[in-house]
Amino acid sequence: METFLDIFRTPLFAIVLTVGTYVLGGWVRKKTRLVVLMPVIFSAVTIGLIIAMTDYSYEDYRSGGDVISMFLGPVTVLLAVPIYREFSRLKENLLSILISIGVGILTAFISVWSLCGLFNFGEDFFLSMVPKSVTAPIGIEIALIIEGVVPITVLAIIGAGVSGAIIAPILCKIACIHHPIARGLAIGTSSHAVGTSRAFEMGEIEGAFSSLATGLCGVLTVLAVPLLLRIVSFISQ
Amino acid sequence: MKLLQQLLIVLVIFFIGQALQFFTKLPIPGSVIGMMLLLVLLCSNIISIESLRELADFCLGNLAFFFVPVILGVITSKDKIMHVAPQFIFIVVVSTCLVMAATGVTAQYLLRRKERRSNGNLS
Repeated sequence: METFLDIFRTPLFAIVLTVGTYVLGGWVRKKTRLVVLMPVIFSAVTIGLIIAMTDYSYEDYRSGGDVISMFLGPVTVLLAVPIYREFSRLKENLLSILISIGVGILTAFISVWSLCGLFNFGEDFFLSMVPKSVTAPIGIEIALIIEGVVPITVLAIIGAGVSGAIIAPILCKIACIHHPIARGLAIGTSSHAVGTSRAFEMGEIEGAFSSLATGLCGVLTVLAVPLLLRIVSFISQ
Repeated sequence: MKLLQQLLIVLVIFFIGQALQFFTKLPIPGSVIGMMLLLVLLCSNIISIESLRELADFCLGNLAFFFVPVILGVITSKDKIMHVAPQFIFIVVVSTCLVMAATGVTAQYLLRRKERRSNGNLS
């Protein structure tokens, strides 16, 4: 039976809800000046609470949510733009940049592998967490290819972004990373676009190289992960 | 019209990327193939950065917005994640710190070595 409430079960309402809570989240962050309170977290938590506390179900939301997710592909294609913008700077230090990002990708893989082993996490968790330092649209694609659990991947990616953005200035001091290019590369490789916004607050060079590293780390991880997984399965046999 | 033209460029490149992935069965997502394709097109001046500016600024500036629905997918596996939440957070934070330190230290070492060398050549 059709009721008045069915209007809330349409894809349109899910989209209104997503855009609305996101914009509200931006406003709340501006008012409270809490850098950590990102609109994306505000939006997801608010919608999550609505789903938990009302008759509105996840399936209702998904009808419209899928429409938004569809744009992740085109957004990934556009990640070529920041790489292109910093292309001249990339060429100057090509080898140093590629090696450093490679070391970062290797560190990410080995640390996730060994820590998952330490806590007896299953294969599914390990595979879901492998793409955690990659920007989300690419990380999601990697998770799909290696058959991880996509929502867990997204949580790990957001965790890496937020923690990296908070820790970056302190960690750079402790690890004696003073070179602005090195700082940018470190932040972009470990905590993607979320870290990059923090890197821009540290300096223009830091931000530019962080955004360059974000894109490059994504592409290189896509290429490296299948190989690394093969090595792991070879070792654990 | 301008934004639609920009959207068309991106959608066509994405479509070509998906098609290439479909036919070659490469373990690389179609969107990433599209991204590499766009980079090549930009570098060879076939597409100018101006012809994508507004759309790129909008999408990249609001990147996180597009993830909201995917995050909510966690609801379907919330029992799985709830009882390991502390370990999960620990792994993510520790690994992020290690990656940042390893990348930064390596980059600083390589860059300084290169700078020292080029300074040596000058003197």
